[in-house]
Amino acid sequence: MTRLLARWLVTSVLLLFVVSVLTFALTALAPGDAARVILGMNGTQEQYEALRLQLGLDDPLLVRYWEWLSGALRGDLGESIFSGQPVVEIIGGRLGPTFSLVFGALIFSAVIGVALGIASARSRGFLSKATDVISLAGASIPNFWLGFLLVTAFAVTLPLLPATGYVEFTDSPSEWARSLVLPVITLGIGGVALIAKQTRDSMSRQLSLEYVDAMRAQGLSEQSIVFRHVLKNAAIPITTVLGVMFIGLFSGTVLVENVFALPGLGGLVVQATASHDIPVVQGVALVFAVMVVIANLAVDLIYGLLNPKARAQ
Amino acid sequence: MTSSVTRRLLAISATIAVAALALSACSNSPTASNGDGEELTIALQAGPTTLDPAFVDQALEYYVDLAYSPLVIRGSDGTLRPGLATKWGYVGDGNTHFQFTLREGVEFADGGELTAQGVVDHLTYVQSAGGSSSALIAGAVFTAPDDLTVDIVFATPVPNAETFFTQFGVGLTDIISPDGLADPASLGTSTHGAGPYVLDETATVAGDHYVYTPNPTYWDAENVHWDKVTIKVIANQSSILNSMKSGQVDIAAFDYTTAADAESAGINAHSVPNVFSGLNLLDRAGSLVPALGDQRVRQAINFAIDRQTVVEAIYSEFADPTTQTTRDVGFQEELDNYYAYDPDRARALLAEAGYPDGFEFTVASTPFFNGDTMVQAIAGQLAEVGITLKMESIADATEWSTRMASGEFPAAWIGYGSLPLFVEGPSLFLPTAFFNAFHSEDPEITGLFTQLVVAGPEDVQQISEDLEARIVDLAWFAPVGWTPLGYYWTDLVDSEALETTTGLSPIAAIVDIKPAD
Repeated sequence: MTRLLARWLVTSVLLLFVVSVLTFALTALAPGDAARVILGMNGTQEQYEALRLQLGLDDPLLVRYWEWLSGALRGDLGESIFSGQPVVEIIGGRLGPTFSLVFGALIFSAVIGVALGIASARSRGFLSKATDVISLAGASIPNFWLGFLLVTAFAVTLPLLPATGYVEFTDSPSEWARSLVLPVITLGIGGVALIAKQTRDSMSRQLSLEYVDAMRAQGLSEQSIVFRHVLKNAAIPITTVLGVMFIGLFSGTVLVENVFALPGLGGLVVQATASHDIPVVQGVALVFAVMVVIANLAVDLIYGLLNPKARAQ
Repeated sequence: MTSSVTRRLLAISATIAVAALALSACSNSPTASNGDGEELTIALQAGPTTLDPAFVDQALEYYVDLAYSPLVIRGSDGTLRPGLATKWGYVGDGNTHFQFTLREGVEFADGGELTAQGVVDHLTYVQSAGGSSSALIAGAVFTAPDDLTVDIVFATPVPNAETFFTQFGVGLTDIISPDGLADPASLGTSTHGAGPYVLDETATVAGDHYVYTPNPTYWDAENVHWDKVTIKVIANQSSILNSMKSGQVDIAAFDYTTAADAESAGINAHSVPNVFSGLNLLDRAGSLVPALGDQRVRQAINFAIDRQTVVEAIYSEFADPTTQTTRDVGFQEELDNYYAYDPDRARALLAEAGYPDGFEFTVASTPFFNGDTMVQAIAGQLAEVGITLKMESIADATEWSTRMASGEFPAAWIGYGSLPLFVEGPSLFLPTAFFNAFHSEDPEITGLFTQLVVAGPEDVQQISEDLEARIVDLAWFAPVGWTPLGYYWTDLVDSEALETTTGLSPIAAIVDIKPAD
């Protein structure tokens, strides 16, 4: 366990450093800058140059990166060039919607996907074929399009759920849940397909092994065989898919937040990139990178729990 | 046994579906308008990067208009009426010395009092802040001869200076309180105005929704029509329309791509032609593309475009073809036929200029505001007379504008909202203008502009018409159509303020928007 954590720590620090360097360089080297955005088309060249100087945009790239990095190491991610708000505060206000969306979609995909996968592995008939169809459809439908379909059906035609917007959990738990139903389904449907197919294949392999016949012969209930033994053994590849999916869900939030007007990190990073607000872009990239790092650790730890051999290594 | 396991698993899925439906039945959306006129929800496609009036773009003026009061109010129909100033006008001749008389007894929402010195301090702050409004008062000097009088001496003559101090001027006219000016950092996230509403910071989530509640000290209490106003940021136009259909949003910007859908859903709409879209033929000296240095070639480009067809194809019935850059004073209907579609004439002009086989040039374009679509349509038309237009699409609008202004391209797509010619000059066609990347200068244009800015009211019309005719004849641009600006609104909102906007005044005054009877 110590070796696992040490290895995770080293690779994580390296990953975070590389991500921060790349994000900073790509954003800073892109044509245009915050001074031009602030001044608009009426600004003169003199005003532009003075503002660049004032914002520190004339400093060498390395100096600017070092200033950001030294602040970040102290927990200070700087301030938005435009609003002057601390980046930590801006990101803090956006974490709720994005995390609610991502974890909601993860749970939705996992529960529905595993349930469908197990059912399909056991029936091998209609449900098996249905899982294939759902998998294909889930992987093929663009989620923004599905989002608009769901909104048309459940917010416009049947006015049951809000078309857009997000309500904080602390303001109203029930409204928070209502505001997330359609976005979570939209973001998670592709994952349902993926998990269902992975679960079906993995379960089918396990169910064909001799130990299952042996347990049946010993009189164990089918429920116990499926949920306590077979599912546990089949869970390792499912965990891998969930880990990869979790990371992918973060990138999916950009479109889903746009369709449902959720005030999350995806919309924030798009807005900050367009206006060249480098401190905000850096901050969001760091949060996404930290999520990747944590997801990797979580997958490794779950492996260990599910598989004693992996734990021993 | 097998089927019982399967049934259990399917039951899990069914339970989740039922839970979702149960949630949907819990209550109505909390962001929906209540329908009794007490709460107004406006959707805008972008949020402001800051709430400091000195830096807010005109397209996002509602974010500050709600909390700040202008010196002069421009009504939705374009008429001017007193705001924080009760009188205004020039002192003497020459259009350089302008004076305001302020309203007595006005208090800011944060407690300060409106004084002439406060207005001078505000203007000085905006001038030095460097936002987009600051260029309008570059070099001007402000003084307060007494408590209620503000004198402004412009560095160069400015006709109709009161226009700058309506909502059009955003930062110039949205007067900030002394407390706000003492703490400029606070202006980005809170409001310090004397407007009808105050930003409720605790209920606001920057970048998502902005909540405003009535200002109890507003000087015109009768015109506070709502108990609460929310501006909701919804970037996606289809999502805005869905939000209106489901009752979550009351007012949004008109969008011709969703106009048919809006109409079928019973949503009210009104739009006016305001933004000219077409080509900016930047390289008028022919330094990158020699052909563009010849006026006959630029005119040939104009003759080669079938404006009616292009406009109908892209904007349906929501745009008008044009060859001009303004709809304000100087606009002449007959000038729109100056380059009536005539490909034979275009070919003849090209041959006369020494380009019988045409030539090739590159246009910097952007998907923003349908620029790419417009440029592609123009390219098809120019190909008919032998001109090859190569489009370079730049996805980021800021990058597009930076590269367009850098002199890298001989031509660029342009989308430019109609303004009075004296305002267009410094940004569109004078040698130092942002949209004049090669600093082209024409003595006749400069001469007419110089006459215009000092002209008395009796001469403005003729000089403006001469100036616009010269711009069209030189063919520095190839405008194609006036594209629409306007509003969608639901029946909960009174139509008057939203359906009386005009091409000269396309933005409805926020204080004029009332609940329906």
